[in-house]
Amino acid sequence: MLAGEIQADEYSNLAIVLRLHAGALALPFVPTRSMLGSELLDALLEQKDAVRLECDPFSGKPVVALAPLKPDVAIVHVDRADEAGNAVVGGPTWGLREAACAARKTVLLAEEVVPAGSLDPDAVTIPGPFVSAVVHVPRAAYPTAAVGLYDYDRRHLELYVAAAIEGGDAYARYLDEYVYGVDSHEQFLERAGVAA
Amino acid sequence: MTWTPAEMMAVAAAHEIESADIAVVGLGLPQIAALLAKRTHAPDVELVLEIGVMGAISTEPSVGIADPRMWKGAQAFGGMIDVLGYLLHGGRVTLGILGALQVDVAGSINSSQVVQEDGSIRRFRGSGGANDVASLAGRVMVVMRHDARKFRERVDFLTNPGRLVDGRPRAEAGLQGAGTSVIVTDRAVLDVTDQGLALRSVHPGEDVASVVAGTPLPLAGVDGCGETTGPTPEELELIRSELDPHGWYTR
Repeated sequence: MLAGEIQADEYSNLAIVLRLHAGALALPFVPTRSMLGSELLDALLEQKDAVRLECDPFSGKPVVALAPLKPDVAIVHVDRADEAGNAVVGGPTWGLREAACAARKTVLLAEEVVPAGSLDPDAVTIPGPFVSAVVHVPRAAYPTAAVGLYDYDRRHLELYVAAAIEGGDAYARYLDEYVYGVDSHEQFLERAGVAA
Repeated sequence: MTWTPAEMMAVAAAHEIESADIAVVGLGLPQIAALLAKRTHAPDVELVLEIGVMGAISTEPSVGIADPRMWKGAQAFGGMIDVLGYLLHGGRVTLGILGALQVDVAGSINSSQVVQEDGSIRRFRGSGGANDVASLAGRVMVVMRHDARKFRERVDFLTNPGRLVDGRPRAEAGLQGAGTSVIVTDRAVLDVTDQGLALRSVHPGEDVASVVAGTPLPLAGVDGCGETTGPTPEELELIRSELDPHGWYTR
């Protein structure tokens, strides 16, 4: 791939989490019955170093073999992190734990940072040993919501969606205004009219 | 008593849900149908969201699965590995409720892309966890508008497998569960069998011949086709006052 290019492949939600799970455990592959018989799988089979259609050695039936995925970096939004990288995520955890444990470097964007060891260990979602860095970023999830902390900003989401649907110049103007035209998340929040 | 076609669709879908079911539910009509079942004839149905929300799912109108309003009242939080992995891949999910851009005679679902009249491709949201649900749930109910363009001999893109894979039983392809067993639309209820689609019932006020004409696939069961049980006043009141008060999905 050339610099500035992004390759996007579509996996089912379980399949991508299983690849991260295999990456975290350094498994050679993980088998799944998901995606069999679909064109989702047909497209992925072109990535021979990632997805293979194999034969289950026990039953003889087809099975999908997923290669481990070890991202170079995982950037994970958390409610609270301590200075040792232990973190609490409110609500469902999607594939956050798998991503944090599989990545070579895991960076937390934390709404709040507290002294090391001050979190309730029962509440910790991502343990410190997996974390490379903690960055204190209030309202890091803006313009979407952080459960129990702040709501999504409907007005800004509608602004974004309208620009994305229109595409072309309208989308370029949005990016110039709110992404390329700001130096920090604080400045983005300021321009969007919300206080951190 | 009158109701909208979408309200009728939600009620007919709810009637397919049993109290013993563990169901993976998505936002929109499937959510309304599942909550309606739980509040009426299926109080013990276990509803889960693919992102890791388990137990009761909120009745508060939500704009997306990431909207925390949808998680209110949950009994447990986990992750995708808990719901799509341990529960679904583990074989504990008895029912999946999915929408569809297109379905074919085997109940295979396209939720990815549609070839438009000028030959261009229009992309939609794709699988998310829908492929996992279709691949692994005990049975699958499709809930969709009864639009002739959505019933296809072959779907434009096979995102989620149905009962058969290339005409063969899905178990031979290594899939788990029975696949799509029923399609509930705003006009009718269609069973999906290994032989194709069968018209089980048309909704009150619908004409069988007109529904058949609006379904461009071979249909069994047309002669013995019955009438779908219509909404009760209690069901309509629940939908209008609590489950979809803004009418986002049912008006």
